[in-house]
Amino acid sequence: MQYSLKTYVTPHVGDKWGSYVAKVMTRMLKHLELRWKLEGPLLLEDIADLKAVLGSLRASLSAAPFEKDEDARKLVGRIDTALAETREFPVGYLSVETLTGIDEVLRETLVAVIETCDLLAERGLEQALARARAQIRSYLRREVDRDNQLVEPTFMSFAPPSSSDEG
Amino acid sequence: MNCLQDTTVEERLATFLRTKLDDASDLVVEKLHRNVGGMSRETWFADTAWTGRNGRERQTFTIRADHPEGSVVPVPLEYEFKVYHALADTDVPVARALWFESDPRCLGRPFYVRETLDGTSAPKALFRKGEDELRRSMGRQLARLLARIHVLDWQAAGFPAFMPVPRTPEDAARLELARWRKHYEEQRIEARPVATELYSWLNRNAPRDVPRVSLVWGDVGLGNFIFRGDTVVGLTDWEQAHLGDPMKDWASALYRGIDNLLPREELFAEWEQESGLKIDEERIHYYSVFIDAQYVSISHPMIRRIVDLDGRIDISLVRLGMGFPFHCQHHGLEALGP
Repeated sequence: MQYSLKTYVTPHVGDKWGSYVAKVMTRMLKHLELRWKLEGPLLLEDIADLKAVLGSLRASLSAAPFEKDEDARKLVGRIDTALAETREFPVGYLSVETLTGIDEVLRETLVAVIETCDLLAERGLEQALARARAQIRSYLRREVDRDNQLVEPTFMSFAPPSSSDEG
Repeated sequence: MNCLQDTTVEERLATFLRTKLDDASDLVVEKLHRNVGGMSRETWFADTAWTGRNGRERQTFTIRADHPEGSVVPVPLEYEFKVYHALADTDVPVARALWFESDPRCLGRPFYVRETLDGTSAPKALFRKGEDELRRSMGRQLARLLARIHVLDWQAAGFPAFMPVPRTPEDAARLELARWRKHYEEQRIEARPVATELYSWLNRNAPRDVPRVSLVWGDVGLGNFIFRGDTVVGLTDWEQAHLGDPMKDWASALYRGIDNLLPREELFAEWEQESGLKIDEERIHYYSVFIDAQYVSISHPMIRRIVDLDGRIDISLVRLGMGFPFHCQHHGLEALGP
């Protein structure tokens, strides 16, 4: 499809907007090709990474000076639930949809960790959060690197001047 | 509405324009073509002709409308129209906004019409070999125009009638931050921890010392100004304008390559001299991350519409929902540091 679009369709589209959309379609097909190949393995990698990070964050946030804070305790409970829910993969064929669901449970939990860290910081605990925040940042960089492998063909640049090739 | 009896978009638009213009009863839209570049909304150019008092007259009007799938930015179309309208009587050069039409029946969506400035916004023309002095001149002009925007008496120009006014220096960032975060939270279709982290950092690091609340253009960059020959004749893309910190415009300008026209130190010197204000690199850094968060936040509505509209969505919008935001996740995290 990419070949045919590039060879037989795009060069023959006279309208500027039509030509732009045809070029975008070529890029989106490339993205889909990558997604087809990589999405499953990358989700597995992300799930393993998230489980490790959440486990480590749980340890940090259940120790002093957080152990008596009600919100920190609730968060630790939420991490426990998420890790328990996702401990075992379902038996049988693992679809991308199933993996996405598992990953989403863990990602939502990480969102809750970041939001709770902000609450704790407002209570004067920012310094004690340094390790947790560094762990989160480190994971996020790995996550972004994984995502970027899939979406890189869709990137658009502000760089001059050839950036206007596709508007 | 008169235009409902017409069949083609060109005919409907011609009918609309005839009702707005004196002495243009035979106006026709000869050509309607879409602008390529710029994705926040659709921009169309309508080449028209009619017989006026002085014989045959021709004019190209610019038509702005939301995409059929909706706007990319969380700002009503009428807000953008009001910005252009308010700027018309200032010394900031923009195309004159003419008419806003809220009734969707004429063109299928609300739209507004503005004059079309003669010139080009294509950056390519500036980056041809041997155009070094042209680029430098453009850079100087843009820095001076930014200064003009940033010292504008926005109260006298009527902006508080439709823009939230920061009441404290911290509000200069926080009002916009709250607006964008709300948009993100309302539209998100999945957990995006990077976005949460960016907003967390922005909230904890909002500038407390903002010497002047200014009108902020909001989307400064290559491709967002019109030039004719060696002169900048108009500034475009005002949909993200707001009252806030002028350093946000510098973050945007640098994000979008203005320092390829003139080195940043020279841009800053020109702006400082013209405005009497001072550059603050720390605040520019803050707003650079802010821009990343904004772009990450536009991704969800774009992707969500694939489902909401059962796949009837322009693929270029889907690409926009992925292309910028994922790139910005990386950029934003890099800016935050370890």
